[in-house]
Amino acid sequence: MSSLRRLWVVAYNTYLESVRQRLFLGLLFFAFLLLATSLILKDISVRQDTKILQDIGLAATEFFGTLIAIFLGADLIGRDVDRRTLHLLVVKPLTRSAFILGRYLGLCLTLLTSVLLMISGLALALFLARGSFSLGLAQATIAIYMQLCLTAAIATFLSSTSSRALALLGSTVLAMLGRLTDVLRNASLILEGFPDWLGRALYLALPNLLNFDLKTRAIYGDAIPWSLVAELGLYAIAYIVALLSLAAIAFERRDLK
Amino acid sequence: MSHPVLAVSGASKLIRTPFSRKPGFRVGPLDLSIAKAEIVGLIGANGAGKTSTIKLLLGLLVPDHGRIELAGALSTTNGWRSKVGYLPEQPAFYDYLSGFEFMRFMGRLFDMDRKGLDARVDRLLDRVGLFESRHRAIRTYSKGMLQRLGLAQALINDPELLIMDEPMSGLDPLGRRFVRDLMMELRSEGRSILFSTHIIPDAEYVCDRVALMRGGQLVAVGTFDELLGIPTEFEVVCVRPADRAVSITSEADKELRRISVRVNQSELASTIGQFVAQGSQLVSVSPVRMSVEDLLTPTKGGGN
Repeated sequence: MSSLRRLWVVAYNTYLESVRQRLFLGLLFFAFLLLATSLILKDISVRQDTKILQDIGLAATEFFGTLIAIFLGADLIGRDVDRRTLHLLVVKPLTRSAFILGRYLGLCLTLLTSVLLMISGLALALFLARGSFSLGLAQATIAIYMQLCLTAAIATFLSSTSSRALALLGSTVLAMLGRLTDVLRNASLILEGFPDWLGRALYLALPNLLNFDLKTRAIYGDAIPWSLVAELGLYAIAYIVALLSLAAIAFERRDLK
Repeated sequence: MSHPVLAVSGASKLIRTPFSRKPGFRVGPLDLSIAKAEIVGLIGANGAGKTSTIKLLLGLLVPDHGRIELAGALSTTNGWRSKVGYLPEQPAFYDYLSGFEFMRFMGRLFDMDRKGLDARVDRLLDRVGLFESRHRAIRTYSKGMLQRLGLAQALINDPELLIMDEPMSGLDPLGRRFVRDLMMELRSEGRSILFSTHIIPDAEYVCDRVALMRGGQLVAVGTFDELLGIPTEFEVVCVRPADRAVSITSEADKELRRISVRVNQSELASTIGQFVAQGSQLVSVSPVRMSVEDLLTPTKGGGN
């Protein structure tokens, strides 16, 4: 029980950092922009305004969320190592694994607040444009949030095993490749000389972030089964557990200079 | 003798830069123990391995060999963590927090209940002179205030053993005095302290024993008297009256008002008596012996 409380203490501190650094003010500005767009669209488009709004709102939530996951995640552990704030923490009754998990959970909390802020902006904009926030939109939002947590786990893993610059670069590349796994699987058909085994290996090893893209289905009103959302959840959890476990193993015996 | 609060036996570590062909820097093998309510100073020049030694003891650097026991628990277990306090050199904090919030964050890692913790945080911040600034953001603190906050967080868990890396570095004379006095108070409360320094007068003031480091090795451990020898000669300094000479001085010294003479132990009392009888004002009596700097210099008394 006390271990859980320590996890929460670290997670809350990570979340507080985002609040104090005024990250959410920028996102509120985004939500405001979305509202302004809805008022403009209401006047210039016919019947398509809510679809455009949904498209912009979900895409922007995914894009800004990914930026937050990568930039905060790549700095999540490395900055504490570089600035040596970590030295004060890991000599206390807090294992290094618990530190990584606590920081990661704090980042997930930050991402949750960010997604909720932006989606609230979208819901309000839809309301003003006389549209409605459908169940499909809620499911697509959940899928986006799971994808962001997975991206954050990739960044956290890299942050605890390499330098901050490498973690940032690696997370960006992996977040992009994660959206291109289908292309990678068939790369040997398109690119001459590209080994088929490499394409298959990359397809299997990299998380398929495209799976989490339910935006189009939600916007066009296709029914999304909850079983699909649950499958995506399990897929994300499996990857996250694997990545954080590897991060903890590598970090446990890392020398802190 | 009771069980030592810190017991190090054969601990060593080869510190290498990744992807470098350089041979690296070896710390240890180290053997050291600290008793309850004892202050031990880790003394050495810059680069002697003091900080690496402290990190090795606390598991920030993972030892290659040896056994380290802190507050009765092996360093490879978690049993020592609630009984040891640590102040790193130039401690870094989450500067978006206030001093009070940071202390509460540290305390909650020890699973302290919120009510008792808040009172303890207030007491500790008061003890280190930060009570008035406790709700200010840490980013607005001066260097001396940061060092005081570092000391306070090291005491949050009421530690049996306090390990501090250069606790007086960068402090003004008042700040150094504050830290020295605090260390003496902590010893009188029964706590043991290991601290590193390259400021020898500070170490002489507070240490029961010192451990001298050079090139990653402990070259000597003991009290100042054990390491430097019991002085047999003393330097007596006094100021003579303006209107008369003092018979004990040589011809050459007669023009000077400030007089210093070296005498052996047997002559010390009579020399001081003579000065005083002739109206001189005694300034100081200092033992004449090898200095710690001499011990740290390989060509002098430092061995190795």
